[in-house]
Amino acid sequence: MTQTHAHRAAAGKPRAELAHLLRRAGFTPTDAELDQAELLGYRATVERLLSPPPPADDEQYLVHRHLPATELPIEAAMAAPEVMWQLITSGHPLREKVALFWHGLFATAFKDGNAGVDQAAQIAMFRRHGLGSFADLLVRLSLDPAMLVWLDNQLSAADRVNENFGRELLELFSMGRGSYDEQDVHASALAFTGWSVRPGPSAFHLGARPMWFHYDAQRHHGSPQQMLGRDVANGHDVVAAIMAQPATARYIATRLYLFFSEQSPHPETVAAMADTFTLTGGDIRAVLRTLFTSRRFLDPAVRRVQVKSPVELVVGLARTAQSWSVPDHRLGELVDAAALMGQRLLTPPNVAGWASGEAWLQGANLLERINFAARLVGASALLASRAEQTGLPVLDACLSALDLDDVSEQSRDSLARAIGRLGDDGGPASGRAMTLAVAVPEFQYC
Amino acid sequence: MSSSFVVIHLAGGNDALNTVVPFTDPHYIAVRPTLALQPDSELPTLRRPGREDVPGGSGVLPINDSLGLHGALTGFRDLYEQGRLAVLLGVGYPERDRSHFRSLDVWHTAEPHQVRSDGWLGRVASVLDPQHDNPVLLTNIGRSMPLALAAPGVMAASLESIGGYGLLSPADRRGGGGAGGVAHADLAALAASLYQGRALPNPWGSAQQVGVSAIRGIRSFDAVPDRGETDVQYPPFNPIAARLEIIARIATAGVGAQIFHTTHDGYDTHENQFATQHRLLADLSEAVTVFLDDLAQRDPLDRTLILIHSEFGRRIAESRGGTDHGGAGVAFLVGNGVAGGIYGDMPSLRREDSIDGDLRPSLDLREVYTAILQRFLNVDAAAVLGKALGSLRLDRTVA
Repeated sequence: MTQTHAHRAAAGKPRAELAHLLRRAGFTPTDAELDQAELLGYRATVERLLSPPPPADDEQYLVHRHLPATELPIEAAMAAPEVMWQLITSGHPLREKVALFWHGLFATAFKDGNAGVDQAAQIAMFRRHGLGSFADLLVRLSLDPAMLVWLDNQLSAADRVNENFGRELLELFSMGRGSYDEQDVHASALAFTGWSVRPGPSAFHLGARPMWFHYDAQRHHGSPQQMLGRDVANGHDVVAAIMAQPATARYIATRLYLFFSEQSPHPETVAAMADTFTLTGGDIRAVLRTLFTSRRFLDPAVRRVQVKSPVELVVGLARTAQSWSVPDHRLGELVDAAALMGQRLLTPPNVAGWASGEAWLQGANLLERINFAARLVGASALLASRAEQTGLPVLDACLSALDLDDVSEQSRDSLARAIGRLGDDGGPASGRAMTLAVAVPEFQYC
Repeated sequence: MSSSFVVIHLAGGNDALNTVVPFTDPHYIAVRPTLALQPDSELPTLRRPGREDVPGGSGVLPINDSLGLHGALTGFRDLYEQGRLAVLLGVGYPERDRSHFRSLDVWHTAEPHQVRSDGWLGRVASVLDPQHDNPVLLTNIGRSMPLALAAPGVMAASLESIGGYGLLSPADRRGGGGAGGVAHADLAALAASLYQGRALPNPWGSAQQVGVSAIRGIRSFDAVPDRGETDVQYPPFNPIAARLEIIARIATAGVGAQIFHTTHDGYDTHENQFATQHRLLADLSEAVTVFLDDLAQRDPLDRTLILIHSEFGRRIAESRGGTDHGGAGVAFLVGNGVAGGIYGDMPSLRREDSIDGDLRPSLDLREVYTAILQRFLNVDAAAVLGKALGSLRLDRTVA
């Protein structure tokens, strides 16, 4: 271990690049994750991240056994601990990170008739299919009960068309404003009439009854309409029409770039990602491969420039500073902690998803983030022992344990002075030093 | 002279029809078989463990021939009679949204038609303090920062207790010991050296800029005295009273805090509404009364303005002993500068006039905001809302 940490403290170029990749394609990396990546090398690590196995069929039972309210959850708040558990304990961080991306882009929240169990099922769908084909994802989204209820499609009928889903599918979920007209929206909405839901069987008397997709032929508008230059008669045709538009490739490439790389699109890289999208028929895995292996992504200028979203910040801390063997009440506390910083899982503020970037730091949120992190790392035996095992001086040991090897000289000097003034209260010096270290501005970024 | 503006959000969706009651409307009695309140109906004594019971009384306190306040709002009735309480009927925005979150966002952003990431009070702060010199101009009392206070470059403070706003050691900031036994002076030095002298251009303010403002804000609250010139006692076990007490102390301390936001939780009364709303409104009425007494004792010329609103009113018809999410709500404006009275029209309760069973708004919340901005805060409504809306005059004209 000591040797590895010495290596890391030297912050060799490959290790810094791997840490960047792991932060963006996942969450704050643990030492074990970084060590494994270093053994594999950059390209193989990218491939490993891009090819997670599907989630195990039985993984949710552990959460249900320990937190019974998460089984057939009635409200979003009851479903959120299970999502948090997956984010924290998954051995395949990109699978979870991509699910978080789609949760933000296809933002679905609670609505009358939309139970937590349906939202949990939607997240499960993102985890299983989020790295696959975008066309497939759009079809699944159009069949997803939580989404259909959220955007009022379940009552949309030929004689009473509700355009909400048909519109957002184009505007927010696939093409972006300005690449279609009102006629396209109307055609899209007509094609989705009759795409509805009905209650599924209830498994037992407690808990919510999940919704199932239900095609209501009576309500479906049968005759084909012109949309984006083609005839569309049903939702599958709409998705096919969307996939044929260059705007879709550009829009999804841009959204992925903003989420995984930096807050302003880098034209050359986004164009390359859009080309990959077009060539592969919308293979998200291939588009992300283009990004992660691009020159821009490895440019030090894009490192530590993304403000961690509250969920990313909380998950990163929970993965590195806490031990998790079975699900417990701390999951709900972590969900609430992120909510207090402005991001409640399964409850995006509206269909456009959460704000991003520096807006997360507004006002007192910065203090909330620092104070939460200070409480967690100060109480972490795991981090303290990790820091002590490095055999490095306290400052370097703490920065290394906190994934902050790359802080600026100013931060390092300020921290060194503050740590130098720490008295001896008998506790491990590293715990108190780490409490101070999370105040550095760099901690806010990934 | 204190001339603060305080927004109290009744969180969860306060049932408007049982707050300002159209007690003569036959539709009201018909759709509220168990919840309807009447001047001759009886409110039971409210048992409150740990403090005085609230004696029972009339279900409705009439303020005119057809409208009355919920029987628990005795303090509001007194304020109304003193001409210091404006009742704003049918407040909402075009159409309505039954989601707590979206509806509250509309109140916070004053934008019903599209999604905005900045709030109306944040924009007010940008007008009042364009250089963003005052990091506590906007102060939230509560746990999470409301969208109303957000705007690019605007720092807003957020605290649950006066000593509780701080970096690394908020809980014991006034107790002497800081994080891990680090002296506060040393923490302040660390924070200052970490955040000061660095700036990255960004409309929302980078971590560095926000950090510098936050540190100045924390220091501002150090000047707030523990009690100040008052012997008013706030009632115990009343959460909204506790928050208003903090606001009174900060507002009168001259630290620069002028616009406050806080919440009173618990109004999402899908079930058991009768008892729940009774308790909540009794707490609210008591808290606002004590707060105004406190401010008056500190300064007889106090011009503090209070806006009380909820994200929506509730469904017209009751179900399961409660009411579901609904449309237009009722708001109150309180203060020495307010021209008391009833403003706006009571929306019709008839099914055919409603929006799918919800009250149809008769007063746009942006009209209320326009009046507050132009008549009280001396801020150009167009700069905050895009354009001034309506011609409400809610202020008492100074003779």
